[in-house]
Amino acid sequence: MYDKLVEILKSTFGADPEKTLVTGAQTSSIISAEIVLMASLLIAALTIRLVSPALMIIAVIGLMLLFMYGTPLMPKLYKEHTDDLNNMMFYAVLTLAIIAIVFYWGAL
Amino acid sequence: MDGTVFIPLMVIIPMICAILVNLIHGTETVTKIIAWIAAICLPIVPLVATFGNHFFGGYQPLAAGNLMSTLPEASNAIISGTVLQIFHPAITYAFGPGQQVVLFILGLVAMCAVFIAIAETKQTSGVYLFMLFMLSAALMAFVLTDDIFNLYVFFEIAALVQVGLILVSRVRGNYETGLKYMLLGEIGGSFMLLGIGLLLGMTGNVNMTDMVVMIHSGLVNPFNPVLLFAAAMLIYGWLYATGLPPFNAIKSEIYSKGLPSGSMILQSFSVIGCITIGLAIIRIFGYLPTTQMAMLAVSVIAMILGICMAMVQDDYKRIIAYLAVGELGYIGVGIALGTAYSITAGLFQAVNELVVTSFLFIGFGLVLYKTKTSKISKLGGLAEDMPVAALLTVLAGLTMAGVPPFNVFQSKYMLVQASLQAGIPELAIIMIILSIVTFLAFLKMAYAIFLRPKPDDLEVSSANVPKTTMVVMVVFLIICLVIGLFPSLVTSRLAYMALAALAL
Repeated sequence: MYDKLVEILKSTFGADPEKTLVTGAQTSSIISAEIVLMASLLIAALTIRLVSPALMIIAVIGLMLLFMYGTPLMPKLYKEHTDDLNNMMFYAVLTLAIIAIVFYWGAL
Repeated sequence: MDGTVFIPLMVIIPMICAILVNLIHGTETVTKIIAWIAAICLPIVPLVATFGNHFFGGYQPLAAGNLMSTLPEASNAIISGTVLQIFHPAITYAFGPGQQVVLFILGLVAMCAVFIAIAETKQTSGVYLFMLFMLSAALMAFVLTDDIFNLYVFFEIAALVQVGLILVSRVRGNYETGLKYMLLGEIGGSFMLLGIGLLLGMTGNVNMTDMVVMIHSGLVNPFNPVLLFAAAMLIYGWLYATGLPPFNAIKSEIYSKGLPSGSMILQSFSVIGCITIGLAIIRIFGYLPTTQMAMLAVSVIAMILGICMAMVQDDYKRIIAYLAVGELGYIGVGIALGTAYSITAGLFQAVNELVVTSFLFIGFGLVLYKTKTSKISKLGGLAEDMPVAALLTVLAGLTMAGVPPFNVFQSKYMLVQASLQAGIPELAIIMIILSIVTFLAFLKMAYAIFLRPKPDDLEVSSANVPKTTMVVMVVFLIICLVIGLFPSLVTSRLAYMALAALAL
C-alpha cells in the first residue's frame, strides 16, 4: 500500500516518475492529509441529518464507497487544485449552478 | 466637537494619502513622511471617533431628522406614520464598539504593512503605497457602510487594487495570476452585483437596514423566488470575496505572488470581506435555513480542503495561503451558525486572523528576504542565521494552530462552544481535528526551514533582518498574547456587532 502510494506521488509531483524524489516527510504528510480528509468528510456528512436522515445515510455510504475505491484522494485533489484557469473556471461555474439549484429546491 | 466627524475620516484619510503618495512619488522623502503620518492615523482615528452614524450629505432618515420641519404639511401627512419615515435617503456609515475593534486591528495591520513596505524596499514606491492605502480605505469602508451598493463599489475597488498589488510585486508569474483573478472576478463580482440589483428591484432600497425592514415587515414576500435567487447570488459573491471554495485555489495563488507587506493586506481583504458580506447576508436572509446551511457547508469544506491542501504543499507561501483559507472557514462557521454567541466567536476569530496571518506572512517573508526561495525542500538550518526571527515565526505558527495562551485558542474555543450550543457537535469535532492538523502542518514547515541541517547549496544573505520588521513582529506577538489573556477586551465589543446583525 505504501509503495503504491509512493508511486502515485512520484507521478503526481514530478514530470518523470523515475527521477522524482519523494521524501519520507512528504509521504507521511500526504498520508496524514488523506486520513484527515476521510475522517473530516465522514464527520461532516453526519451534519446532513439536519436536512434529512435518509440523505445522510446515502451520503455516508457514498463517501465510504469513494474512500474504498478512490483512495488515495490527496494526489487527485492536488492535481485539481493546480493554477490552471480551466479548472478554476470549471469549478466556479459548477458551484454557481449548485448554489442556484440548492436555493431553488431549498425553498420548496 | 462632535466625534462622529471622524467616522468618514477613517476612509477619507487613507484615500487622500493614496492619491498624494502616487502624485509625488518622485520625491522619496516627502512620500515617506506622508505615508508614515497617514499610516499612524489608521489605527488612531477609530479610537478617537465617537460611536454613532454618519449620514453623507446630512440626509438623515426623516424620523430622526425632525420630520415636521423638513417637509411641507401635505407630504408630512402622507409619510408620517409609514415605513417611509425610517428609510435612509443617503449612504450611511454605522460605527459602534464592534466596528471600533475591527477597524483598530485593521488599521494596525495596514500601518505595519506600510512600515514594512518602506523598510524592506531600497527605493520607496509611491505606486505600491497607493495600492496599500487604497485597499485600506476600501476595507475601512466595508466595515462602516450600511449601504450594500456602496459595499459593492468598495469591493470592486479592493479587487482591482488586489490585482495591482500582484502586478507590482515582480514575483515570477504575477501577471498571469493577476489576469486569472480578474477573469474569475468577472464571474464572482458580476453575479454579486446581479444579486444586489435584484434586491434593489424587490425592496426599492440599497440600505441594508431598510431592506431588513421591508422583508421582515411583510412589505416584500420573503419567499419570493427572485429574492431567493438574490440570496444565492450574494452567497456566491461572498465566496469570491472571501476565497472560499471554489475560489480557494486562486486566492492561495494570489497570496503567494504578493510581497509580504502586500500579502498582509491581501489576506485582510479576505477576512474583512468574509465578515462584512457574511453579516450582510445573515442580516437580510438569516430567516432562510437554506442560507445558513449553504454558508455552513461551504465553510466546512473550506476548512477541510484548505488545511489538507496545506499539508501537501512544498512552498511555504502556499502553505500559509491554504492555512489562511482554512481559517476563513472557521470565521464562516461562526457567522453561518447565526446565533449571537457564534457570530461573536466568528468575529473574534476574524480579528485574530487579521493579526496572526499577517504575523506569519512577515515571519516567512524574512525567510524569503534571506534566502530568495520559498521551496521548503531547498531550505534548512535558518534558526542559526536568524534565531530571534525564527522564534517569533514559530510562535506565530503556534498561535494560528490555537495553542494557549494565545488569542486564536480563545476564538477557536468559543467557536467549538458555539457549535455545541447550536446542537451540531460534529462541527466541534471537525474544528478540533483540523486545529491539530494545522499544528502538524506548521510543525513540519518549522522543522524543515529552521531546525534540520542546512543544505549545502543553500545561499543565505548576510544582510541584517530589518529592525522595523522585527518590531512589527514583536507588536503582533504582544497583541496575540494580550487578547489571548484578556479576550473580553475584544469579545465584549464584538458582541454589539453580532447583536446588531441579528436585530430586526
